[in-house]
Amino acid sequence: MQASRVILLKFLIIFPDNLSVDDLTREFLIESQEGLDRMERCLTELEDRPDDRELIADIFRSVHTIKGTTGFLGFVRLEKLAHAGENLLGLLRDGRLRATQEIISGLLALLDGLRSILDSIESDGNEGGGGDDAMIERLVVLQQTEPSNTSVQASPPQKRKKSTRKSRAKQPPAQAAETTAALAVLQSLETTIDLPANGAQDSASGGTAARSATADSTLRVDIDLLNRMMNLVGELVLTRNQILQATATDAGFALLSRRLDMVTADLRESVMKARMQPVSHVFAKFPRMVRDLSQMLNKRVVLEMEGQETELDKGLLEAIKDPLTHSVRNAIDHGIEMPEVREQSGKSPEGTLRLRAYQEGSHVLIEVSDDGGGMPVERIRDKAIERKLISREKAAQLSERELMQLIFLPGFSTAEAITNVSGRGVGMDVVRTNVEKIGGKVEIESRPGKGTTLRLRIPLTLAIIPALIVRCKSNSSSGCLQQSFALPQGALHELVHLSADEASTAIEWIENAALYRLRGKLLPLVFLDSLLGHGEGTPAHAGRSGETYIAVLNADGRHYGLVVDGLADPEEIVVKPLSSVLKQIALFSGATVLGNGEMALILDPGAIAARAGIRLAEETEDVEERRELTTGTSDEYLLIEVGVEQAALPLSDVLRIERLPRSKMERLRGRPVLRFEGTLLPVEDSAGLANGDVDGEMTVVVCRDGERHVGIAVTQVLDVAAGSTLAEAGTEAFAAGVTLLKERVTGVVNLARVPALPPMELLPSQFPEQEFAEAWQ
Amino acid sequence: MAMTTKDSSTTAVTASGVLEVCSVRAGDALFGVPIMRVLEILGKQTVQTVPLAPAYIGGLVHYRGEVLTAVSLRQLLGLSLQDGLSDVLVFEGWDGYFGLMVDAVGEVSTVSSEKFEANPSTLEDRHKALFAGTYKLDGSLLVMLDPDHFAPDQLAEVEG
Repeated sequence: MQASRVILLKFLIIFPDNLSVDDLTREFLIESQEGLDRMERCLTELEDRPDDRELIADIFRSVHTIKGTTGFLGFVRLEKLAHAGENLLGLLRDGRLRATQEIISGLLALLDGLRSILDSIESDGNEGGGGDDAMIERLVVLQQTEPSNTSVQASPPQKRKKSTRKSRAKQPPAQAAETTAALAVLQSLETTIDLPANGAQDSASGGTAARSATADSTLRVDIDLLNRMMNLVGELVLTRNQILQATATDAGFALLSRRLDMVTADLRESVMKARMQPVSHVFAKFPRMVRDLSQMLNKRVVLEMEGQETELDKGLLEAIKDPLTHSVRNAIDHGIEMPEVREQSGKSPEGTLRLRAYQEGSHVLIEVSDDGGGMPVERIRDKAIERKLISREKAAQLSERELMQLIFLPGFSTAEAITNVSGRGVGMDVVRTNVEKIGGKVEIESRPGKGTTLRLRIPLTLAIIPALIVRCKSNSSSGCLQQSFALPQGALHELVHLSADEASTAIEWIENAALYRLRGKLLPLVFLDSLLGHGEGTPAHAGRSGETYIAVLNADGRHYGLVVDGLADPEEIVVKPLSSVLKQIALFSGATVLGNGEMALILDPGAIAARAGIRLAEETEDVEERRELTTGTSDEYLLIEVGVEQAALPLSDVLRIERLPRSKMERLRGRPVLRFEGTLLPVEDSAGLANGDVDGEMTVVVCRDGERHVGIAVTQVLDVAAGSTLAEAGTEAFAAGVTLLKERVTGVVNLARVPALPPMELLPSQFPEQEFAEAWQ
Repeated sequence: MAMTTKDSSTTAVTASGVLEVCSVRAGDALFGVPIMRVLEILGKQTVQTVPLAPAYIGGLVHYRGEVLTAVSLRQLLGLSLQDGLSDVLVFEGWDGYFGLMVDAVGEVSTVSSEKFEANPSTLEDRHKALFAGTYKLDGSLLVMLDPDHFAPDQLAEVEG
């Protein structure tokens, strides 16, 4: 009593007003949540290593810290529950009990109990109604599952049990009496567990010391403050740009400006980094979830996690939490089979669920893969027809891969009965919507009998996206102005440039619909200027003068070309939201400030397609396009014509297609080579295309072969198509170097066979240094 | 939020009897906005037009790293849009910050509530919603504008 009064006094002195107490509570909540997260992790690990004292001590500390602080803040219910758990953990820690499956389940239940009280405190400031007696009872019973020897300490648990029972018996169901009863229990417990409590104090303080070392080097920062910092940095970047432009001519300022430039760039990067968190924050809850789910479904699942240190912006991390949970749940419920079924099909009874995160360019990829039965394509089709998501005729035309995409339709579910695990028809469509909302993509791959992989492709940061700046003529009252717009790179497939002469002939018309022949297929065109209401009065096909660019876009499976008047550099843009009035225009997804200080609206490719009515006209193309996309990156080919022969190039190795005057082609020791911005490119020209008319043009496909780049001279590029492998007759082995493209056997160009440049030592030794260097530029 | 601010500014007038007004010019007319509501005055701004936007939207303005929607006072009054640079006043509305494009920002003056008069009944309806009354100055009239009435989202409701 004396002690508590002292604490109370201190409390009053340090925290004179309510505000600080709220702060204290919030701090406590954050710390406790973290503690419980850690406890959850440890508990699932404990299942594999039940004798690991370290783990138990860690769990003990988490619960003990909560108990210690709650007493201080006056959360009686929480303290009571934590206390009961601490008793059980004390016995485990002292080795008087062994962590059985039952005990771990009990502790996990305790964890959930604690968590729900914390949630209640967070939402309305009090611990909420409801009793924890059943839970406490369970914990007390667990303490006796394996009563240890005949040691003196054996008696306290029993005594405790009795006292709890008694107080429970005394307690009427009415809530009013609960507080007093709880206090009674508390007191009776206090007297009995003196000994372990002291021990706990020691280990706990040891733990605090260890933790404070890391605590000293880190700091909790409010996310709003970080957002504000991010905005300020953006502002600084723009001011810097203006200063750089203004001082460009002044030599005295140049050095200072450059320094400002560097510091700003560093600062921007640091602030962005501060918003990054490792994906382990999201992954951490899965061991528990997998455990619970697999037990509930009587399945055996091993969880493997990889790349937990991969970092992602905090906002994005929050956004993928739900989609990822859905995916894991699906994989266990639908993916991994029952142990008997697995054994029958010759697999280990234990299924494996793999979570893998890794960075690829400006994206973070998160894979959820299982080694289960794969997706039953027939059942997916039947269910989709049954739920009227697709017509029978249409379904019959779809390939397996297209059928798999059906699972992303709203309302789709193959579960026979609605369980609390899944089957409510809200699942994969939610996953896709949520991921696409943050600019990501969902891909699915499945092989019957082998398993399913779901891949979430998430952009690194939400606020900054790569975009191509396009220009569009706008006829404002003062004459012809060029306005800039930002086109998100994510939807951009390729760019087609039409020179002033070509523009008038290359664009063809069916009534009012403009079309462009892209590798033999008709691509519907949308003119940005007429879409935006410029150039009204003059019919669009009255002829376009000047250079024209077609941005080939793919938005939600809709394929079209956006015609613009000019291109500027690609830029990483900071997305700023639009006011609601401008959102209603529904063609722009935001606005941004460009490096030169100009403002640009961000075009929404999906909305533009919808406005231009692309979808209806392009239904068939849409499906075909999707098939090509989903056929995977590994077996897509660029179909080329060299001389009279057709050949295929693996699309993943193709970097770009160059059209250049033949005079640019040079020869080095008899081998055709090309110079590109200071690099030398060996060109394979088997058909002797470089020997034609010097004033003519030729096409070179630039490819990647391992580290080096090589060029392939081609007569023309025909198409992009998905190829399939062929087995040599009578053998299981795949025929190397050929593929089936568009129902035709086509040879695949072996890039590794393109000879390297003549080695340096073969060059004449009297080659003057100067010239030598030039030759290799 | 904005309503309470407005109320308090009105009460401030009645209590002290004076109000500080920032005068702005659009075309030939002189207008006033309560200076307490003005967050910042951006001089000579390039305003980026927004295709397909309602007529009263002047465009986008860059303000401290944010992109603001600016309402054009000229367009609201039915005057033709002016090319080139405009002065922009920044306000805070229900839907965040927004700008008001004017031809020029004048001086800040103190007006007395004794000189105040409500809108004349002969005023067009849409102007009635926009104007908050008039101060009779020596030799001219100062028409008051209410930021709560020309915020973009408010105009969207009124102008449709």
